Amino acid sequence: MKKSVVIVDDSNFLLRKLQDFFEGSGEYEVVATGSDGNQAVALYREHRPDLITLDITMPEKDGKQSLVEILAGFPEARVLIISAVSGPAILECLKAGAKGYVEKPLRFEDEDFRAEFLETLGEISSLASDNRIGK
Amino acid sequence: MMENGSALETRFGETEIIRFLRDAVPDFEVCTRRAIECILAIPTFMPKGFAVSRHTDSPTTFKCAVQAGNSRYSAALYLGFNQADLKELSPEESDIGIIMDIMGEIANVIAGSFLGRKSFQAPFGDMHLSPPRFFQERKAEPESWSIHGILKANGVRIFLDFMIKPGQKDDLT
Amino acid sequence: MQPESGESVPSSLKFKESIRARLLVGFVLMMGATLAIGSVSVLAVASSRSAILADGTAILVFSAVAMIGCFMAVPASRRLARRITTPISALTESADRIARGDYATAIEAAGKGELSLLTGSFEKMRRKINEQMEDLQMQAEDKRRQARTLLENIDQGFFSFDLDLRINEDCSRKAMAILRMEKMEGRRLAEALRLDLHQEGLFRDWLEIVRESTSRLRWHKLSRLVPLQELRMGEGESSRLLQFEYRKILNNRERLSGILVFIHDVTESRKVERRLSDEKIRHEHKVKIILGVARHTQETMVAFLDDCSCRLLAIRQRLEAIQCRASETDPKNAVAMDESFRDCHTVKGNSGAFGFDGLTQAAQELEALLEARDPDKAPGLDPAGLAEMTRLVDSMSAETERIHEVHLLLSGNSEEVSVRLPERKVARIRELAEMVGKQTLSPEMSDLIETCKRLSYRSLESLSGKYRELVSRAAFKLGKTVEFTISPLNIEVDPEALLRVDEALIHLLRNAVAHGIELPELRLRSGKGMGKVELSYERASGTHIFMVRDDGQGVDTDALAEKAVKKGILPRASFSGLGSKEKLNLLFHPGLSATAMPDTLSGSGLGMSIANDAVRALGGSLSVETHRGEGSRITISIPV
Repeated sequence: MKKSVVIVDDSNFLLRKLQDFFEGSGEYEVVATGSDGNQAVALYREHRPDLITLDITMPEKDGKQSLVEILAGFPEARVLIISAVSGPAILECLKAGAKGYVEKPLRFEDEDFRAEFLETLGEISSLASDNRIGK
Repeated sequence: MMENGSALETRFGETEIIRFLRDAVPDFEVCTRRAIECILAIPTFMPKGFAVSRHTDSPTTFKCAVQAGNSRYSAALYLGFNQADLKELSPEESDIGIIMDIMGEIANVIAGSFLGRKSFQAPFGDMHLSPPRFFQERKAEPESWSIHGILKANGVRIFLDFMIKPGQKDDLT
Repeated sequence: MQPESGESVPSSLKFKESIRARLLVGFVLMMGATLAIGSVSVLAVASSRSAILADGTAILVFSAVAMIGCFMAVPASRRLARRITTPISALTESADRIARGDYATAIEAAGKGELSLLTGSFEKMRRKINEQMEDLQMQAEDKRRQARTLLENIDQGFFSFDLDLRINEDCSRKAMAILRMEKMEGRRLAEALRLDLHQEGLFRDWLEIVRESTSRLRWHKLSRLVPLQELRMGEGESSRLLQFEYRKILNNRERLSGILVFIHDVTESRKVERRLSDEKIRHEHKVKIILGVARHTQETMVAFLDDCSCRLLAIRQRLEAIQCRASETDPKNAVAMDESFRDCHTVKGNSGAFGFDGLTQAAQELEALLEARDPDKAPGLDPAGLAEMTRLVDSMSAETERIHEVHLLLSGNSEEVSVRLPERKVARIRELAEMVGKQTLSPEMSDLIETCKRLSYRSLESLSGKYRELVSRAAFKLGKTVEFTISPLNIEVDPEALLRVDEALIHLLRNAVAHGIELPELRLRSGKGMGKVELSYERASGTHIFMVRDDGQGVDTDALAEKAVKKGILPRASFSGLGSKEKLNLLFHPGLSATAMPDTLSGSGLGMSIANDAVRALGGSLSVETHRGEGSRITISIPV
């Protein structure tokens, strides 16, 4: 059973690359794509995917705010931050509840990068299920 | 006994900014080349080294910019290029929109990685990045010092400028 | 009766549960019962024996006996109880003490029989426990000391902090020294790392996230998100740059209990990196200079360098003038800045065209500074600004100097501008000049012809490379130290003339090294230094004069004559009548060598005669002048 994913990024170029990657992995199915923060929240509400990816720098509403809104409505949401920004901004997103992050630039041609990405995805699925058991 | 080691307290004036920019040139070179090479998957060449000055004299028709800032400083990264050259940058792409997207992404990644470096964060602190914006060429602000240089990829020249100054940012348009 | 669940052992007893009470009750009952039965039986016997005793008496007796019995039971039972409970309570107290941690107080043996056995074993147990506790304490003390020694001596700075961001006990002395804290244990992390409130908050957040993550991959990414990775300690030149490395500390249940921090002082390595990067840039600029100079003609270079020096000088003078002027708002200042800006702009443009990146960059920065003046305010003339401008002018001058050096190097060290001509053109000119020169000409025409002939002339220096090498190789082979010089340095020689005497010169130079210059020890004894061999040239009217001088031992004419006699060249009779000049002429005699041993280098004595013959064949002459112990001079003259 494939997991559903919603990809959100203001660059269409990247959306395409990410889509290729997720579908190529065989484990994920891309059910929707968006290009700004408002779309991110709406798409999550509509599709309730197993995973949603957000960029931090987006027009309308930035990644962090979208993250906060999504988690407010759906605390069990699994959000992956994919961003060029490094440092405290990502830390804040993780603190706010994002389950993982991947740094840009995305080097899909690099085998190690792809392997690490997949590992991060794997971690996110297992992390989320731990949370449900109870803390 | 507490040493004054907290860097966020320092106020950078013009001289310090110039010095910082000069020292940061190698870092900037690495960030820019890496970003372009990773995203476009082609090698970059440097016809002339990066330099620090007040002027950006890039004869281009188009600019893509990412603005950044916090309460004390504002910075901006500009990518300049000629619209006519765009097609050659990524020959497989037929859609100009996608290519502009790519330029935006490059600007985003350069800004993100350069501003995320500890060497930048230490004196200037964390900055919020704007999404990339496009506009026609206009003279850069004369008040700010910047690093500027030219990179060549697929024979296309990309003009790069990074500027930073104390104070709040003004709108680009 | 005993508590079955084992939850807690009673530490104090209520009286009704104690042994004493039970014994008392038992005794009393027993006494009472015995006495009762006894008195009943006695009474029964008494009443059956005599009817004297009335019923009332019987009861009185009975009661009295019973009371006496009870009174006696109490103390008796007390004594018995004490015999049992005393040792038991002593044991209890000891056990309590052990429970409180006092293993040292001994237990007195008490009680009899099984009880004494019990106290005995108890005492043994206590002693054993005491020993083991002391042992463990010593081991712990040892371990502690070892750890402390390690921490005091290890050269790596590290410390750890717990989940409340408090620094733990064990931190290396190096850490305290690096972070300039006398005591770190118990202090807040924020104090050690000089964090402000915001950063401290970030640390807390980061720690939270680290706690939740357990996988290797997450840590690898998370450790890169740590809020503080570098810190500059101190100010200015003596400041140190510290880098921090973080590791997780897990407790025995694999949960995060703290974070270990390694401190690396990277000041030096950073400086080295900076130096290397500066070197690289300097090197690249140097390469650009070389390429730039090589691509352009000498004239262009000279013009450029002159232009640069002039403009830089002008700028420098103007800056100095500005410094001297009292008032900042002197209008001359604005003019000076303007002109300097224009000069600088020109230099920038020129140098950019040549590709001299180093100079161009400095010019760019200076230009920007000069342009930045605000015409309404004092034109940017604060001392710092002026100092910066002067510094930039200095670095531009330094760059220009570097370009000049490379230019000199590539243009053959001559300040003169030279042009290149194909050799055949020059040869042709010379040919024509010689043909025309045979006629009678006016003085100006003669001059012209002469100048044309001299076009092909070159400096003796540039033509004598092979002689230099010959001399040095010969010297090396013979173990002598010889310096070869040309005189005069810049004299121009007709290469053709030199070619004619080339063979002779080679022999003469070889001779000078082989026979003229003495071995180093000999020279030292006579106070001479390095051997000198000189080739010189003079132009007298119609004659080329070449000279080979050496400051060696000179020719021993007498020995020469002696050898000639021995070899039968000279009749013994004429020996005494020979003048020194004639003796010297013997040098030219083939088959005569001034040294005992022929060696491959100077042949078997033929060199001089060959040289002489060659020169004669050219229509010239060769003469020798020599002074014993001082050296010789051989002169070759050939017609033009």
